Amino acid sequence: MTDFIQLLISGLSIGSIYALVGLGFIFAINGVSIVNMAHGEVLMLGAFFAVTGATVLNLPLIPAYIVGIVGTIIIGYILNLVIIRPLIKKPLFIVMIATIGLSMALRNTAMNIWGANAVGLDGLFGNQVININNIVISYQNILVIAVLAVVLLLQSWFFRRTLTGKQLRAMSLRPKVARLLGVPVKKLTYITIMVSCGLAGLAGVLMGPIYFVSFSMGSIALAKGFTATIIGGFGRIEGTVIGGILLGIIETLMASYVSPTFKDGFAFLVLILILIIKPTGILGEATSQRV
Amino acid sequence: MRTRNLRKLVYLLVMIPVLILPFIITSKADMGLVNTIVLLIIVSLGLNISLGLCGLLNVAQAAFWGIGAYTAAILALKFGLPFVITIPAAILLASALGFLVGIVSTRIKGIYFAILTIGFGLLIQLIFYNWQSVTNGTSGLKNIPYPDFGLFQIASRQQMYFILVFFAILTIWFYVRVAKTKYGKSMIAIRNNETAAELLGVDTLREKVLSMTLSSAIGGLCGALMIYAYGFVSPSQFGFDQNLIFILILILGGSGTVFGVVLGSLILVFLPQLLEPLRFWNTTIYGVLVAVMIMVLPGGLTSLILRVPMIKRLYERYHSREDDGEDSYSPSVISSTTIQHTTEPVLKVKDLSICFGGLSALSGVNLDLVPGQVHALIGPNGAGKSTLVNCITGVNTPSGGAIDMSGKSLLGLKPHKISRLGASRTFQNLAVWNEMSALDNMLVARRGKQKKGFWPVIFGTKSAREEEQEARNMARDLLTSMDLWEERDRLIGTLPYGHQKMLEIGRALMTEPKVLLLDEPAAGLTPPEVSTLKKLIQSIKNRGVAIMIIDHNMKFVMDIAEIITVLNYGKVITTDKPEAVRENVEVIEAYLGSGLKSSIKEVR
Repeated sequence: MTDFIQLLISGLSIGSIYALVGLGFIFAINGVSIVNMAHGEVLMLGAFFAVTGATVLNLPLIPAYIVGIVGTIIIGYILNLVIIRPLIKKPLFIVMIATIGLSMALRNTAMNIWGANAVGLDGLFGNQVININNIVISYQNILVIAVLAVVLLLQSWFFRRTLTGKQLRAMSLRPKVARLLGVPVKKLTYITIMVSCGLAGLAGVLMGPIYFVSFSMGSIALAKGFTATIIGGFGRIEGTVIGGILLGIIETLMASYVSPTFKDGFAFLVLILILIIKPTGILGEATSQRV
Repeated sequence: MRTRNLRKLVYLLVMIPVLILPFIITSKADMGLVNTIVLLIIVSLGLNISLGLCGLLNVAQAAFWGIGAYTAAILALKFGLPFVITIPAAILLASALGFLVGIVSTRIKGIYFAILTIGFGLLIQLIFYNWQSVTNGTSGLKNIPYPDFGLFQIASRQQMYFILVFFAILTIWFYVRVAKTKYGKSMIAIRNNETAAELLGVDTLREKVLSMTLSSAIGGLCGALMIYAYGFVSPSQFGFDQNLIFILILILGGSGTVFGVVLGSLILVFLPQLLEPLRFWNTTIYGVLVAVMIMVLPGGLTSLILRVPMIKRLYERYHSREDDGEDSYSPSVISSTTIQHTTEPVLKVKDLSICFGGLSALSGVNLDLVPGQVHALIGPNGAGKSTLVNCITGVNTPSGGAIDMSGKSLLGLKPHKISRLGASRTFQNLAVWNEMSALDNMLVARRGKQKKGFWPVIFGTKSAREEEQEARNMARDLLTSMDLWEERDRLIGTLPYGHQKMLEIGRALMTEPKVLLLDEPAAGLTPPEVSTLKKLIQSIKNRGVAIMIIDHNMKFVMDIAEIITVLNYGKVITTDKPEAVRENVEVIEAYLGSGLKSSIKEVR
């Protein structure tokens, strides 16, 4: 029984990371209708920036993490300038293919810069754990779950209470009308992409200590992230969170009770099953109400 | 030069270098490259059937390639089965899985389907890596011998080349046949406007499943050929990135044409040779190329090349149908024996109701359409007119009531079935298939009535050709009667708006409808065009078709309609002759608001 709870908590923790990846991913989709298939690579870059900060620049951990996140925000700015803005009104097919190309390019570039080997990134709390009734919970696990909760609260506050947030919602629903009514669409597009990438970077620095940092970590991360949003209801914030956590738990349980090597395969199986059985996800697809 | 001779010349010019090539190339490495080019041509053409023609976001071709490869490899190595068995087996298994994925594709659209194929591909590769006992895991399967045909055995890359070229020619022939016949055209129609295709009799589910099956079959074939060409197979060949290579070929070259695919394959194989010093950055370059090309030049290099006028002329000459087909034109015999001119309604809508959430869009609607009669449906915006048409054509399912056509209930039937039973429509916002010519738009609409099966059509049997000719005859007659025959080969999007609207009606007529539903046919037409429209409607009426027109152009409606039904807030206010409707107080109120009763009476 304690094993089971142990697995649940692990699953909750890794699921929170999946949820975070998904949230960043759908932020761009909801805000500017861009399905950014390179989202995982941005996550990977965030992790690498943090690693570089810690090892090359010899920064302490928290500043290194900040380097990672700020780095991805800057990447977000560049990506928006160079590739995202031209893609905005184009059909889905073109956006997907173009961002897939981008993801390939980023992945290969990272491999050339940082090498093909996986490297470690230290967690904020090292390996410290709490022990409650023989259930071992690492501080890193708690951190991840806490970060997700904070992000959710911030998002909710941002979209409901701030002017910029409301403008963003208006823009995502009716860009032309929003522009006519004074919403600074161009500026908000930058903000959207930069926030999306920043969230990816955040997920990257949280993932690094658990999964090691390598040039290929992005594609798996994205796969989990969009599985999360599909399970819960594509594009919905609550759905993505529920989906991510569910995915994390199912995956951890399956890996332990069935087969550890096939761990990632379960995520894909779940993805395929949900798409076949209920493509709109547990909560149903986001329609006009997307935030 | 006549088209026939031009084609023969092109074939000759292509075949000579293709056949001489292996005798010119001396190095084994170079021969290997050439074989890779041939393989890429095959697999990319296959992908084009689902991705290019049908528009399905299929990013799983690498998976089917892999399935074909492993099937053939395992059968050859572990069971010692010969080439002539492993190839069909690989095709069979790959297409079976493609069929399944295709079935799923009909339930989930667009991005969901893309994600499904991504997940599928990742899953398949994981199986290749992990199913050690069968696939040998990471190390893969090695030492696969060249094919042995008994009478002779392949012993070198040069000889393997000829096998590959044979299959490439087969694939090219097959692809061209699919693209040129009703199958390819239906797929393009689905890509351009799936709803319109479904509503004009195309069984969109079947076409999509077909396109996925064909795509994956060819992918599997190529995989099987590959293992013989290379002698080994390993899971790392079938990663997600591989799909991008195929897509890059289609984008670079230009996905509409065989030439484009060949060009793309050539570039993709020789690019790394050129970029030798940068070879660690190959993938980055591919990625950037894909992104740039698809944003800047989605038609690929072929579209650039076709801008040269002389080449464009040659291209059109090559594809022209002038020398064949047109000679066998004869006026079509459209079963105009449907001129019954009975007063018995052919379409009966009884007590129809439909709710969207809490909103009752239609309630208790009764409407009858009589053959040879023009029945107008009018009402303020939001009254439910389009909803009624959608219910009749099967797009929406009513919550209550009945819809019968010639005694048969239409409820619960799929739109393409309803179209085939005899109800056709045009659309408020033009729903023509933009990437096809005017003639092709007409031909696709005939699909629902064409009975010939897949293989007869692909092989071009006499009866299949006759069926096609019959469709062309009918299209020619209709186009000529609308004065649009001269523009038949022009891309429909380039025609004036009025012509496109007329064409939509002609297209609907290709299904030989008993009931024709015209949604705002006069909208956007100039007065002379409205005249032409009226004449057209008159001739359709004379053929015994029951016509229902939705329009807001009151003069047009009053001129042409014999009976008018007025809808407001989902209910029928009145069904009566035009003069009576014009005077009807409730109708006037519905359009102009109440309180005007007295003032109107006074003005009169």
